Amino acid sequence: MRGQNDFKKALDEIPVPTDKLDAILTDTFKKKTKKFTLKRWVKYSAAVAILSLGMITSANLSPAFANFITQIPIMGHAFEYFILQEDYYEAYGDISTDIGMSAESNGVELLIEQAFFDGNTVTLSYVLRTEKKFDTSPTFGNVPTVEGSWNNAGYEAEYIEGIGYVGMMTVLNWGNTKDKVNVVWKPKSITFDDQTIDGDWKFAFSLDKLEGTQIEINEQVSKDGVTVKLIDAIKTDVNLTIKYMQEILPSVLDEWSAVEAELSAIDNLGNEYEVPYNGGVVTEDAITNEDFRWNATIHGLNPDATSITFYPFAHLSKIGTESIRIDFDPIVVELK
Amino acid sequence: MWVNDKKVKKAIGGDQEALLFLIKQEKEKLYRTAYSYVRNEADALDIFQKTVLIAIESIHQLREPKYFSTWLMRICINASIRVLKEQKKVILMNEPNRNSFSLDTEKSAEKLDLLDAIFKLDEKYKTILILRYYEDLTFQQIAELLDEPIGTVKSKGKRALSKIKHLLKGVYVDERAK
Repeated sequence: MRGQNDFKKALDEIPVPTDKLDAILTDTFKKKTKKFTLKRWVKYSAAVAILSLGMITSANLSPAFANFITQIPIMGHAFEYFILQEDYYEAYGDISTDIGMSAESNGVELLIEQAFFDGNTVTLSYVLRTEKKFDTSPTFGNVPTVEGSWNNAGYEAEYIEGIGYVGMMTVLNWGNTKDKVNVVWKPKSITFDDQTIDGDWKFAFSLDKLEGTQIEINEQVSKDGVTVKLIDAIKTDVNLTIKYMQEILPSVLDEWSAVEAELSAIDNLGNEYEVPYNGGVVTEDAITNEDFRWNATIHGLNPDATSITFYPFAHLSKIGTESIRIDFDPIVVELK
Repeated sequence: MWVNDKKVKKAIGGDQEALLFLIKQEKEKLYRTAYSYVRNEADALDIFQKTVLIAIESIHQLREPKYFSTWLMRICINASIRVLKEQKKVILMNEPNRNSFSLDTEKSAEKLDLLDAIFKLDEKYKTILILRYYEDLTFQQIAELLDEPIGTVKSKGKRALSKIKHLLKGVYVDERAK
């Protein structure tokens, strides 16, 4: 036996539980990535279809509809595309600042239309002008920085015939909440399927924090070795952001390999909400790998609600497929 | 080491799919490295998960895309050493169930001897050998990575090899160390 290759060969004799590694990768990435799903753009696509027909047949369009059509290539209306899927985007559109910036590089035009900062996340709408639809949604070489630092970010875009990709992006700001934040976005490249185009698109703007109320909660519920602790929340006119933690007894992880605590909520008026998380980080004083601090947002909170009840639940899963759900006692939070 | 610079740049910029793709390429090496320290599957999986988490959280700090693989390996080694330290605090009632896999061929038995020798090495020597021969770094690069003088790294490397040789009763010869 001789040579350094033997060293490599010897280590390569260690059998690798590939399935388990893949499951860990999937689980860990899922937790660290924003849950951000947009539904299909049914109504808008339909409008475009009608427009094409209209042009052929010279049909009369109602003034309101004509107005809607003319807005399409104009800046500042990207939220319109999203309203058609979720009502709360209307409120988001109303409170957003018009950014109206366009940058072109190597023949690719990128626009930022509107944005707002709720004290927790920066949400912005963008348009990537393309003439064709790609197999997968184009991805950016960089996401924006907020106050100079990188953060959890997520974006989702849909192809709109005649416009390109219209997208919604959120960037989480874990740092201290400021009244005004500077957002800089310099995507050094944009990838369309297998093709990456380098460029020097640049955007820089600042956003004032929406007026919001800080609500201290500090209540926790425990069951079967899993503790979910609601820490605090920020309520604005359009949404509510909540920070919460999951703490897991090490013994739980003898049997289970992953824990994911989530919330659902109902306000005192009976409106039900999903509470999708924006991202999670391992807590500073984590005892187990599954001790997480989460940041989640209720979109479109009813402004008349005076209290909201959170229903924490958690999924315990094994590497592979098996999982169980635990439901905890509800926690009522007064909305000041 | 020079793989996928473009993908790495995307990952640094926040593209999680790119990062997932890159870590997937390294997963076996990471797992085996972790295993070589802790010698049991459960802890090695644990270290792998920690490595993935830390990578997601700190990928934006990576300055040189070409060092992605080394950077990831360093996270893994640090996590492994941390786990070993934690274990030392606990009085072990049983020796960890090591080499819980079996090899059939004669040739494999020879490799298993070497593997066993690697397992038995002190962690500071193990780290040098892994970086040198598994990660293909030069002693200069290892010195930079570990922030230690190159002389120290080289002498540790030599010592590591002589320890392996001793463990193998003189059958292991390293050509690069000459």
